[in-house]
Amino acid sequence: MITLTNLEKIYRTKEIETVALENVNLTVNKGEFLSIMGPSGCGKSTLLNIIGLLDSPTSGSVEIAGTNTVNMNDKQLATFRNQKLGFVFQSFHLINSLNVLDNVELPLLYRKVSAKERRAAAEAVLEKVGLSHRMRHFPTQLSGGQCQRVAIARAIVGNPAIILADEPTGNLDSKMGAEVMELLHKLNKEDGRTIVMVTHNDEQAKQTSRTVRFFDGRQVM
Amino acid sequence: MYKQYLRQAWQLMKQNRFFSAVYIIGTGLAISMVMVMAVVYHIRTANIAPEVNRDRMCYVTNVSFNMNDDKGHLNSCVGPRFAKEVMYNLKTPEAVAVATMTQMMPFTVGDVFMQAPGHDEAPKVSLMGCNDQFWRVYAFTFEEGKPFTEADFQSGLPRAVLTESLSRKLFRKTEVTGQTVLINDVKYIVSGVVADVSGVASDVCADVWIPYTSMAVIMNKMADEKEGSANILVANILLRDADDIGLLKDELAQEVKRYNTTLTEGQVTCNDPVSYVDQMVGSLLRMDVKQTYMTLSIVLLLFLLVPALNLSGLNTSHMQDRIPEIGVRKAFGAPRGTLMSQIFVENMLLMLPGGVAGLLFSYVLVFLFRNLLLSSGVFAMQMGTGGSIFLSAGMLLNWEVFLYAFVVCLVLNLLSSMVPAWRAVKVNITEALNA
Amino acid sequence: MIKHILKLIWSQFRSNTWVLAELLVVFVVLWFMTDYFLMQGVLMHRPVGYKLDNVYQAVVSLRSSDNPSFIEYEEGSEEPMRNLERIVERIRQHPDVEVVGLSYYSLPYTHSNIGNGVWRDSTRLNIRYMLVSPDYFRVFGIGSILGGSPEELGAKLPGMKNTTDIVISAGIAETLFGRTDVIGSELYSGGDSVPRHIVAVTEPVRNDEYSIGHRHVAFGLFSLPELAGEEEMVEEDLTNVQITFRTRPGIASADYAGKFLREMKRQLMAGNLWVSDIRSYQKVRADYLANSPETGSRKLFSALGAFFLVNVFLAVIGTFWFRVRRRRSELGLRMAVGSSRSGIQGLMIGEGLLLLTLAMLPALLVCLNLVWMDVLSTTVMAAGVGRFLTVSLLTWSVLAFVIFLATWYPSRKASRLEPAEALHYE
Repeated sequence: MITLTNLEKIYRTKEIETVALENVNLTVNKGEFLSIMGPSGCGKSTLLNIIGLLDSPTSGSVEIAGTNTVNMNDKQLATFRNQKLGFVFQSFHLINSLNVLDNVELPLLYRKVSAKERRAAAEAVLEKVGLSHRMRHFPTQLSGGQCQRVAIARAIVGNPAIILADEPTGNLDSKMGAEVMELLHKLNKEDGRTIVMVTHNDEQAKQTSRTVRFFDGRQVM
Repeated sequence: MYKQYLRQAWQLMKQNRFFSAVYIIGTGLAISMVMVMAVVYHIRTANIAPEVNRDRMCYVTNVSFNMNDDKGHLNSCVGPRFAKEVMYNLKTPEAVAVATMTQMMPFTVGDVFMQAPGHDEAPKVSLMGCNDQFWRVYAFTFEEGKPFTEADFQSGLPRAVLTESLSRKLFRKTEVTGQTVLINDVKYIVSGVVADVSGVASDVCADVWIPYTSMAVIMNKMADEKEGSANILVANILLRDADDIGLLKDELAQEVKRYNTTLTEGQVTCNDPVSYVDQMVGSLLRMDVKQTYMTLSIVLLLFLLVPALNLSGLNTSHMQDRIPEIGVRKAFGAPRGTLMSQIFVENMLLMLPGGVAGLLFSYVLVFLFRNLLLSSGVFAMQMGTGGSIFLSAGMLLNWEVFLYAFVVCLVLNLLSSMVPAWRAVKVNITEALNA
Repeated sequence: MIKHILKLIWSQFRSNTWVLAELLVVFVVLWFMTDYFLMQGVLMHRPVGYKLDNVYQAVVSLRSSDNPSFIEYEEGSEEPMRNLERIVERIRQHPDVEVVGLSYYSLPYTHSNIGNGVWRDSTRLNIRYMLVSPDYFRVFGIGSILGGSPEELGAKLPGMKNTTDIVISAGIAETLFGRTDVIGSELYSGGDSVPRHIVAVTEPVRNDEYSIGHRHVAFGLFSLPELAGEEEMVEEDLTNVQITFRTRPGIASADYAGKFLREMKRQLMAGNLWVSDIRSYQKVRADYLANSPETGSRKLFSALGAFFLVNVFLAVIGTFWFRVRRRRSELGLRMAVGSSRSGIQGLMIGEGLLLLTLAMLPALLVCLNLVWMDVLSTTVMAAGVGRFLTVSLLTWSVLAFVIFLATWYPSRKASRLEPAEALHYE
């Protein structure tokens, strides 16, 4: 599903050159739930951003769902992200000026989907994450766990094959975190979605189908 | 999609009340200033009753009589003899209205007082002498009676058309057709009463109109070559088509040439016909038309530039606040163009209330500064005709003015939101998400 | 401290560019407006010289020739002139009237005047020539610059012809001699071949508060018979003779002019001449000033200036409001390390003022260049260093005040932050 070959990412400023990723080769299979672990600054977030096509590698190739994404232009990347990928962020990144329903509809806004269909799809996924009673609320009126469930709903509303989660429980207490993890597992098992998750939490990593560890930009296990 | 943009823009406005207020006031202010110019331009150039044919009007104002053997020359306006033998012979125009020039009246005629026999009131009035075609060229609203006829004009009969308010002042009523009035103690018979005319219509504005053939000051000079040719009249010419002005120019030149052969004491020259807009713009700042347009464009530019910079600054700040949101949208597949159009729509929504407020405020400004902005020039103000400028709803509320307002909003929006928006949209997604 | 703020401004250069650009443009525009207002102010505070309290003008009109009661006089008849004199005499007889003056195209706050020229050595000066009766000086309270009374001044007026005397205004003396005690000095008038001796110098006089050129005035004696002979006056021209009078003190009331006219209407008719209007001269002045183009442009400039200032206000208040929001944690930290609340407020206001000063430097360069290109009007005052600095300082002060107002609210908000809460936003 995802194949990274000889991936390298170097950040250059005038004075310093920082190697964020070095010679990364990684394959994620369809239906897998992969967790990436490592200390702060080890490059795991950079890796996730590159897989999510939010950032481009300095060298190497990124192949997702059989398509090599290097050399795609902005518009192609946007379309690809829109259709194949769903994101869940540590800090939720919900848009405060939109209500829950509008937030969830967001990815469909950038497809040719009628308002009615958008509404129906958003309601369906909110049902799935158990928030259909909060559709008219604004993010500021929700708890952290609820926010993250909205974010997950948003990630899956476009029916992407891959979900990328960057420390999805990092801002939540353990009870809410467990709820979110349960939801992700459900998406993985029932819908067969491929999930790549960055986490600090060993417990959570252990529950996933595979864990890779990073240290100083290199894959160590 | 746009519905969602609008919903979000509304939320943003509600959540950032302070910013929205500042932004709306800023836009309103900018728009009001430009709208003052637009409203003034409209009132001065559009066809507004009674000057309903401004787009087809042109003027012959200046006539010079150059005496033989360099014995000097008289520069003045059209004289009665010139009007009769040149202006009325023209075939190109649809009609030629000849009237006394308001600015010259105080010098040749002096103060004019009117009185109705048997009434005490003897107010000072603004008098205009004109011909019968005047009533064809301009659309007055007759409350009562009729204009004086061609026969009245040709025979120089003492007939007068009054405004409603003058009629009320003199007679305490408006049903006065056929009554006698005294104009500087000379008896005239009222032939009709018209609705008051705003000073905005500077070509026709007066309290009372009489055939200029009934005015001794003018007709005494009819036989005189010099003052018969150059006197205090202006020819307001109604063309069949605005493009006929070239034809008219040629025909006028020929007529003047023929007229000159009938003269023995000297020769006459007159200005080429000037279209309404050129005449108006030229008299605005007393500079030539090109310079005037130049000055006005610089002012207009400043009016747009400063608020645009102002709003750009506000937009930049606002955009910086919203960079994470843009990052999320991009992560979920929003192309840059879509984001730009979203920001454009949002801004437009913020601008429209400002636009409406600005338009209303500009009406207030136009009203307050009406004498300064709408009188026909410094001179008219000194003559005291500036006081009679009033504005009707039709002058202010019409789709042309609304269209101007909308276009200004649009331009201002493009000027002020696109650069900050493009900068924000260009920010790298990962940076945006972490901002 | 200033260095510290400069660093802050530099680090936020992006969000400052627009404000800086706007301040620059507005500074240049306001600079020229300030100059305009300053020059107008200087001009208006120079003396006009005419005392207008209790002064009225009687406007003489002529019956038109198609009027039934029009009297046809023979050509060359002196009767019309007598008629005018009768009217003047009747005004003089009125118990309220102290003194009556006559003049010809020679009143202040009018647009009509007679021009002439005077020479001294090779310097020619365009002047206004005023034909006035001796009592004119008493009507308008004009004395000589050396303290002589209006009566004495009136007695010195030279006739229109066959004279080598000249009475000039202080303006001419200053321009041609650089001083005002010039009695006895010589001048050439118009096309004269014989020099004239200055017999009196009047107090400074001008046509109106805005007038610059019309402070150069020479006075001659108005005499109707002489003038009528010289100018081949017809009856119509008699209406150009100006009658002004001063009433005794304590008589004036709000509608005195109207009362006077109603009372005297019948008496003030003689032949074809009649007094159509009595005007309070203070009202003449007010109308003249209200309708003068300068008043119009002053109103217009005030409106424009206000427009630009409000724009600056909005730009600064908006930008700083966002700035305070974005820098909450920084401000919290400052408080945590010991900055007082007023210190925080001072920092924000200082930032605004420093931004203005930064924008002022390039703006002044632009202004300087424009001054170099002679864009500035020098009719009131030469374009010198003093004027440049005064105008620059004034412009800065006005904008500084606006910026102070605009930063005050956001900065107060910043200073009211609770340090702990503010730090939390990090």
